[in-house]
Amino acid sequence: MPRSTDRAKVERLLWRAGFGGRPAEIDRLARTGVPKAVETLLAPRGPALRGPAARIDGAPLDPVNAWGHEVLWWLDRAVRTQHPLVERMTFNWHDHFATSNDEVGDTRLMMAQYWTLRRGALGRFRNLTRAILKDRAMQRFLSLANSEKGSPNENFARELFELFTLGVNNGYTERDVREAARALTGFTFDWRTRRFGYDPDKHDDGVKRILGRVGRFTPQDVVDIAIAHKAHAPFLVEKLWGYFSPRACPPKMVRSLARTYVRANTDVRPVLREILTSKLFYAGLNEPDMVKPPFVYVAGMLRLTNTRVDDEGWRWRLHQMGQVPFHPPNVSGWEGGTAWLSTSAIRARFDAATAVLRKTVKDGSVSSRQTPQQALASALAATGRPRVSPRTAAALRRYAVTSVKGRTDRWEVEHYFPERQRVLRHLLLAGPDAQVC
Amino acid sequence: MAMLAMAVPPPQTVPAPPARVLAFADEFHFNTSRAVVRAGRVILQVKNIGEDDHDLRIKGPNGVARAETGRVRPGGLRQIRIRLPRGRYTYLCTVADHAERGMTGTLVVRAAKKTPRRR
Amino acid sequence: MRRRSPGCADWRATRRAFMGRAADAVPIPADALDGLAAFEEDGGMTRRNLLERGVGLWVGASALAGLSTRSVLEAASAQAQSAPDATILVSLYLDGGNDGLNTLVPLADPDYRRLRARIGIPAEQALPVAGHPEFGWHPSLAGLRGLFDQGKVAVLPSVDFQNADQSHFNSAAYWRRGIVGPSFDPTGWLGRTLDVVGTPDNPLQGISTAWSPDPVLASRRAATATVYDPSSFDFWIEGVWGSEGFSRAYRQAASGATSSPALAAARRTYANAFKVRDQLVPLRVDDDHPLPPTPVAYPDTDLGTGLRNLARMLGAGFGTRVAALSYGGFDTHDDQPSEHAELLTDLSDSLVAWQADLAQRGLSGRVLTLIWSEFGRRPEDNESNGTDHGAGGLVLLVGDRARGGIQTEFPGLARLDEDENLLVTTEFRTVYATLLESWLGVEAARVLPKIDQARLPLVA
Repeated sequence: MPRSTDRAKVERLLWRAGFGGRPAEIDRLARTGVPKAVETLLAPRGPALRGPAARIDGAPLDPVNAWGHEVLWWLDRAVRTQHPLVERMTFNWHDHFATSNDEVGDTRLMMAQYWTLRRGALGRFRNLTRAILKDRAMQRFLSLANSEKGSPNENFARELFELFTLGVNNGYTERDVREAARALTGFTFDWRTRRFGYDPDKHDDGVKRILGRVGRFTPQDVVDIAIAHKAHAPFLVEKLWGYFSPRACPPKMVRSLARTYVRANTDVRPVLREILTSKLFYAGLNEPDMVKPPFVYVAGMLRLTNTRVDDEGWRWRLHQMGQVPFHPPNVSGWEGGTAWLSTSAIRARFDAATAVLRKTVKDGSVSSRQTPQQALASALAATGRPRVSPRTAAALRRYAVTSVKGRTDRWEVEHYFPERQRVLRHLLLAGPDAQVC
Repeated sequence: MAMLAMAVPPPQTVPAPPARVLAFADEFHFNTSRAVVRAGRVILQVKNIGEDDHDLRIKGPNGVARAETGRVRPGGLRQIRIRLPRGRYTYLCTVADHAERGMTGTLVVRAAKKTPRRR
Repeated sequence: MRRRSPGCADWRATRRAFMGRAADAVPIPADALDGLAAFEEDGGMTRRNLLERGVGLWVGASALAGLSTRSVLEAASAQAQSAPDATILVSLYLDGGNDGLNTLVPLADPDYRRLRARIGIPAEQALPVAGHPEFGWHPSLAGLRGLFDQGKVAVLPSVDFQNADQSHFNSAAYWRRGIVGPSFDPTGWLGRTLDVVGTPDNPLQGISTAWSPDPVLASRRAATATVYDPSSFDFWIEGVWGSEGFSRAYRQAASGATSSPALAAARRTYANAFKVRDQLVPLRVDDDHPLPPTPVAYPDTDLGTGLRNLARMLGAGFGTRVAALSYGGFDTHDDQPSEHAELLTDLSDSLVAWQADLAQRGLSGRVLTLIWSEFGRRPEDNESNGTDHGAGGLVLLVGDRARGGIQTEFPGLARLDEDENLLVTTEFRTVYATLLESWLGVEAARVLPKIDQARLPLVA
């Protein structure tokens, strides 16, 4: 058996750098120690997915042709992934380069963007941003397509600086935005044929001044100039840190991460390695302080209970929790943190466990001889042995006793012993402890 | 029963799932997920991502209306389930002058795939 | 527990009896009424009756002393004690852009006939607006007209923001946020209001009467609740009979202190959610406890049902300060006459039932209903017998304490803005600022950034 602290660290690692770990996964990685576990996440091998694919009403998903299936498609990938950090970073980049199908209105383009993000998930940020510049869903979403010489649309230019590379009002001016918008002209989109292209005649090839540099810049130059700006590295590494820890990133850490990032020529892997092996990342293991984003919470719950995505209701439940992949609220992504936990959202999080547990414990399937301890052990085994706080442990123990007290008639045993099991599992899957990692 | 069905999947007893088409509607376009489907059962969904109400009416090769979604509010989704024989179908938004402004399109229904029928 | 069917005749007398002892009164929180069996025996009034009708009911503190001491009760009564007569603002959003010009019709404006050649309301069909022969009400608004004649409706023509771009999404977002212009701020103006006057532990202080939270109520810190139907609000686990057992377990797991802000938030949120469940238990409806009748029947529509549900919750005295609901269909680009008439009939009839219900519950002096839409519609009608997106919407404020009458300037149709839309005479933020200060008792600047000094006479 691995040491318990290693186990606790790997459990956190898999929740924050993935979608939760099954007990066997945690044990396996914990035995190798944290540094090796991080390396495994950074360079995964073998098939990307495991287990049976999602099915709805007995048929495979049809993500392009059925509304909502694109959401289930991504959820299914998160549940079955064997490359958790790649999948999680893909989702983080979706938050960073947030694009919504509510405006794009073309699921094929959204799924193509998923692959763009996934291919670049653990690579050079400069390459990823160059790819996003040419991504069709993004070009539609931020009106980059059909932004022409003479009347450039500033949407993409503004968000490129504000959200993607530098941070709000951080080292650029309105003039930089206007000039960058000029350099970003030339991409085209034909509504009738739905063809995308680049028309040099629609590109403003005049001289522009962007972030202190002067030249006849092309669209890609704008990306490169922004990424070469001194404000970029600290901005990006701090944002990355925020995906893995809710604690403020100490200035010394920001400087160190930024150095690593620049030295690696914008490769994010060494940055992630530094974050995921840092002491601060593993602080407070007994009182986890990060709220699981809804998508992670749901995928993890399905993953740990070995439940296949087979219910269109997941889209609605994610919506009620406030996070539907392919449908971020706006270009700044999801707000996150404790803002996830509204009274309505917590009801949806509760309902998620109800959905997962549907038809799992049948009436009459539990013996009247099952002790409270056995009931609890059984519930823990069925839910992937999640970490529980003393408070939850006490609630579980008490419920395990009181719920079947005096239930001795045959019909009572047939119903109430399984009912106890359902509730214990529910509290393990959806209780307060299950919301944090 | 459910357990049994899970354990022994009997594909030949399950009818082929309906062909699905998703149409995004906004001002003033439809963007459909496919232009060609096989004949048979079709589920046609309309997702309104625009700011105005829209609907979708599908007409047969002879120009006769076959089905209609009814009004779809902004942000809303409605679907029609219909059995379509092969042919060339047209669809349009019947709200105000939306069709004239571009909300029309064509859906081609090809002959059903030849699959061995269960006796 | 035996419960009488509702409809007992003399509840008013009973309520007066309670009111008479209001010296050091605290309102009855829902769960306190668990202990009211004694009243039920000889008072001729059930706990359910109390909740349903004795809105704003107060019991002397001595009477409370013998009641349940559950934490829910304590929290709720402490909550209510802090604001026993608190005013309540209800936001009712007419989704899609209501046609103000065919709601309050400028009959005397010579340009109205010209611009509304196809779908104008004929003068002979319009209902008179007391004191304002230059206007007429849409013929479907008989009920609203009645409320106006009683001085309970403040009418504000042409309220909006300058240079609106006629986008539903942008306009609705600005109105909800109370901030004009692009922003990623996810809060709504009434949510921020609760951040100032509310608490982190009373979700029913802000109620979205809907299936998803109303963006107007989105807050930073304050808890809010989303309850469309209190008669069936509960948590549910398949195969588990009754929610009491697991509710207790969840509440226990959600108690206790922790150094982790995230875990603390998870516990607090669950505690709040289950508290709402507990508070709403007395409002459940089943065969033995049918929905109590209201003085005027609500229309059987989403709006009518929503308002009826909200009245029941306000009536139970949960310390509600703000609530929000919406109903849609106002984007009448075509075939407007029939659709608009139906929508306005629903609005008018619902408001009449709502006001009568609130009055019977003793709440009508504490509730104002703000009715708004993201914009008005284009003065000139279109070829599809409809109207396109415009500016300058009509705002209505309904309630006993609303200052009845037409309270803002109607700019007329002779001069329009560059998009051929109605000129805006009043910023919507001025309406909000007024309601914050004159009604909710909150300094406007704490909720509305960069608000100016302009205010309106809206509250009597």
